[in-house]
Amino acid sequence: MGKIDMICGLLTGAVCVLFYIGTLSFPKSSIGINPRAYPLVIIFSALALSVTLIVRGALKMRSEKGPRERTLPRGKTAWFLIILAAGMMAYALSLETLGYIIVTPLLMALSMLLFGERKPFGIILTSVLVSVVLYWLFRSVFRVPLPRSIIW
Amino acid sequence: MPGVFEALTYVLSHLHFLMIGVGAGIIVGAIPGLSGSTGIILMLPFLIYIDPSAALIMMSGLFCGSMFGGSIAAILVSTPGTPSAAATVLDGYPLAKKGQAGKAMGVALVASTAGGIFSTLCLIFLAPELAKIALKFGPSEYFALMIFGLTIMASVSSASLVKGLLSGFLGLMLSMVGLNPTLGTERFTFGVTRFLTGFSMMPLLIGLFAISEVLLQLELFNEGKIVQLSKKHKIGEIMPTGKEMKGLWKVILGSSILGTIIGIIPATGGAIASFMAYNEAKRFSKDPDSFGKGNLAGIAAPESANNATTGGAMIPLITLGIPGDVVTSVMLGALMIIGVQPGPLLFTQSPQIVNRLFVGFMLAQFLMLGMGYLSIRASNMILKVPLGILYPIILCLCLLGAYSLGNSAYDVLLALVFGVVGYFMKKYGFSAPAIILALILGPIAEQELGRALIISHGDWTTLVRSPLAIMFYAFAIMSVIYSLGLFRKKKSAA
Repeated sequence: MGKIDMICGLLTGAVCVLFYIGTLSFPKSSIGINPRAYPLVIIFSALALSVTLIVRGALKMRSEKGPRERTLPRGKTAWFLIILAAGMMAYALSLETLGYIIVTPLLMALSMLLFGERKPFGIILTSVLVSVVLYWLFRSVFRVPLPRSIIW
Repeated sequence: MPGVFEALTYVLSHLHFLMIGVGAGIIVGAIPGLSGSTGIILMLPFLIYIDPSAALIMMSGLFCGSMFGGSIAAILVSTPGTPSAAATVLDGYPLAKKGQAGKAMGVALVASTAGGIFSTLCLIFLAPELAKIALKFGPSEYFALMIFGLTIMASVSSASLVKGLLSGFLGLMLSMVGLNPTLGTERFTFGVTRFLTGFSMMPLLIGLFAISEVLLQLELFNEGKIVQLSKKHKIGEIMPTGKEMKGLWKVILGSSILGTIIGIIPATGGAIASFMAYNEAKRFSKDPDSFGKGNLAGIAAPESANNATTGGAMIPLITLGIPGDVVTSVMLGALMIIGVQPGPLLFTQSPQIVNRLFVGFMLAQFLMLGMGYLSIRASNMILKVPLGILYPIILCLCLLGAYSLGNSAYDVLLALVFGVVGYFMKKYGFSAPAIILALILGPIAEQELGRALIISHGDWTTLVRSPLAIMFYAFAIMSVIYSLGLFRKKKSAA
């Protein structure tokens, strides 16, 4: 866990530096509070905590003995997580082009497969049925203009 | 009085919303891995299209229902459905092993209802008084109150104080993206036009709480850490007898008082209340050795206490806009999405919403009694819900929810990004509730600070001149000290 703490500290520290750079372009103001004051207090506090996390992680790494604890999923689990995340990304990017009713059953079927469902008929029926019911509910009852494509 | 009648008529004509809330709460509470906060987020896509009062009573019903629902899995499979039901496992599961699961769940149901009714009465009588005091707050008092609220983020984090605080400060940084609230100038947009309006609450809530949970459950499922339940449990007799209730009423009353007090204190919540009530019930029992072996008082105490925290936690939420725990943090975010701004002004500007909440909260307890009974009968079915269908449906609801508020695929993408971030945060001990709390309270704190300094012509001492503000700073310091003590205790226990 020490290595993970160090990586997390470095990442959050980098975000703090990015935000600090963002404050350099702030305009000056004579009304109330200096526009940089509040953000700088927040950024430096977060930076101090990031440094604490890095130091703590380094100390933890030095004291860790024996085989390191597994911190990231590996093998099949890692692949399944990557596939689901990629599937969701593809869903978000193609939603407005292909339309809700086309992409939702595909994502649902994919996630059902990843969660261990193996009956093809059940997967197709459930994914289509759930998508159609949600589509009808949001489009007809709540009047939400869910995206439609040329096909649907 | 006419206000109460109007509220009663309103709630009765919207009873179906309350029933859906309570029913959904019991189900999400019963399924390990889901909780009241996830339930509220899954309901958000529907809540934004109904009347705010109806949405509020639906959320309240879900909050109360999920507290009881947690006990079902705790008793039947020794896995608490929610953290608040962890203490119920101690005596509930041994009773289930003796073939008295129905009786254990029946006691949990009656105790939960009693705790809920007691805390609702406290909510009805205390909240308006507290709101009257809060109406006198100026910008410096509000700023101090927000600082106190922000210190809660240290306590709502679960694994480490540093990571909890860091999550909160990252949330504060995210809340600064967009426009400066005093000057209206652009900041931290990094040239991205979409960032001008800041990060909207809906995709953040959905990503950090729900999508991350689906990813986490996928990992646990594939590593065999959660399995599909298939065993049928014997339920047996359900409701406790009059004689049994006679022996339990003192425990229920005491635990309800304790639970309500703990609920009012920000940063505590149901889990702490239930363990404290369990320990007190054991301490005052004539037969403490029977605890842990299936003593009914060992179920009644934690269940009445954790349900009593619901009404208690609503008091600071609706009067001050300060959430007491994770569920009320999410509820605060949800309220802002549906256009209800909790705080003392709610009592003067929209008293009908407050009255409807009070009536709805009380009716939710009685509905819980009836629907809880049915859910005990159907408990085997609820626990056997196929995970391979449940989580994909949750995922689709999440993505639909992210899209529906702004009709934008950008929000879906944002929810997905925060879902992945939330997954790693949960895995490595960071706190998603702290981010949400900071995103809600941060902008208010900054705005009030700006107002206070404009009124005082830049005199910073204005922030510490009011006795009320000093009191809130003292509470903030106490909250941090309490969190430090809590984390030290956790560390030494580990």
